[in-house]
Amino acid sequence: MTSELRPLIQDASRPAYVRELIRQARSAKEPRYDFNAGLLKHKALIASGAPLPAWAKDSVGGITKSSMLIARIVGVAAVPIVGAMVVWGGLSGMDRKSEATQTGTVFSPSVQKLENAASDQNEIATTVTGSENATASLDTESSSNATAQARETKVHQSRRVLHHRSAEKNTERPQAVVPYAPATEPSDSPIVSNSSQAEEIAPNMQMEARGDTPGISKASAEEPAAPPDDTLLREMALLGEARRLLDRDPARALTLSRAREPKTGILSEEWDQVNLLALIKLGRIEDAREGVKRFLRLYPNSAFNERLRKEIFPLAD
Amino acid sequence: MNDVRQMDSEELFKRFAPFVARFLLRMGVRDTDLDDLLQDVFLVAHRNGGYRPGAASPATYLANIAIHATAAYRRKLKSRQRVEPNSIVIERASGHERDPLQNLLHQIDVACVKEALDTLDPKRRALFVLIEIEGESCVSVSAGLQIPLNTVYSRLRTARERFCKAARYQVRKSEQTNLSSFPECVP
Repeated sequence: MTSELRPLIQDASRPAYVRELIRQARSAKEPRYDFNAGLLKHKALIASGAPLPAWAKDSVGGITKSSMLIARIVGVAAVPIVGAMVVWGGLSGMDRKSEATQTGTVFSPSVQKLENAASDQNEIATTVTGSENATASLDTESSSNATAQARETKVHQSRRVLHHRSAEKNTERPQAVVPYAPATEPSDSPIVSNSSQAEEIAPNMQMEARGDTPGISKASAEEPAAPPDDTLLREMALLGEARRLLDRDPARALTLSRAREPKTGILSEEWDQVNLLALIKLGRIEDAREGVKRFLRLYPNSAFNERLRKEIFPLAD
Repeated sequence: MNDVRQMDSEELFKRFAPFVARFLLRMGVRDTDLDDLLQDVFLVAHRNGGYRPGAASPATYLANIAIHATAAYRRKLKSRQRVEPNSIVIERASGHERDPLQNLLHQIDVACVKEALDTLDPKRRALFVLIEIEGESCVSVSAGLQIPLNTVYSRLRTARERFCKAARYQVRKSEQTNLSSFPECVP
């Protein structure tokens, strides 16, 4: 090993011509390159924000391809874990929401696809607030023997009705008003309507987290609502089944997309997609055309829109 | 050479651009492509935040980037094969700074080195150039290229054997070369 450390040019055991070649290589002239011009070009490249060469994009910042691969594996493994946490958080958020609904506090849904329809969302939020007030007045008018469960059902029904009225106003939705199941929108980041209400809700949520029962919602604590996760899971399974049926039985897929149960409202965009695709596969172009226009208005930022405009909507025209 | 200061890409360019240019050429990059690759190397060094002091010297740090650049360059070169220009003839036509015969012999030797280096695979070629020709230490190369020290020794030993074998062949070939093809260089 010691002989390996000696440079080849000093290794007397090597042929002389090898040492001479190394010596000539070391004394080779500098490359014919204008280094001053190169430095100016380098500065100009930096100033212009020139993109990295393709081969370097995986190694900038000390990140090598192997570490990127490990990160990808960890990321893939983290997806189901995070998904489970989101679902779990969403469901516990729904429990909190049902509690808060009885206290008269309004939670804003944080579902991404509802954020896409921001204008509709604002309108719905406004009407929902009104519906809460209306429900409160209904509550005062109603007899005192109405249970908290009944009040909760009324609140959610009125919210859904107003939601559909606003949708019908914009889209002339042909379907009848659907009596939705109890609200299941995940509200893992609930936005409370005002700070005073937030102060009221926060202790309740803390007590709930400890397993205690807030005094305000004693009725719901005694009669906990049915866990909404079943509804969502059943709807997700049904949506998957409807998508699978699109090719071989679009009529059945259409029926499923229009079925009233189970529907939580969370997957309404996905159901509308299935509905449109089923209509097109069945050759009901006129119905599909109206549906496409309505979909584009309802979900202007949907990833499905590009496909609609390029592939499906021209057919509808 | 073993300056442990932190250096940004501009300072690296000022001090190590000739080294990187030599290294790129010895790794098989053509003169016409030298500018592009040199700029790529220092652009990547800039995006990496320049050189930070460590076990690797600035030269081996830049050589590591240059090795990646030449790997991509070779992949690209496969798709656009073209005739390799005769560097000896080009050098002869570009004027001489020393005695014509000495210059020719020097160019022949350099060409022999290049031919011998071409027989090495890129990993061993890079190690041989850095350690044997540029005089970098094995430890610095190991740190700069992020490979174990024993791997450096192993590859270097193989590279030496292959280089010596190729050099012997090239020297015999050059000895058989008829210098009459360069009459003006014959005294």
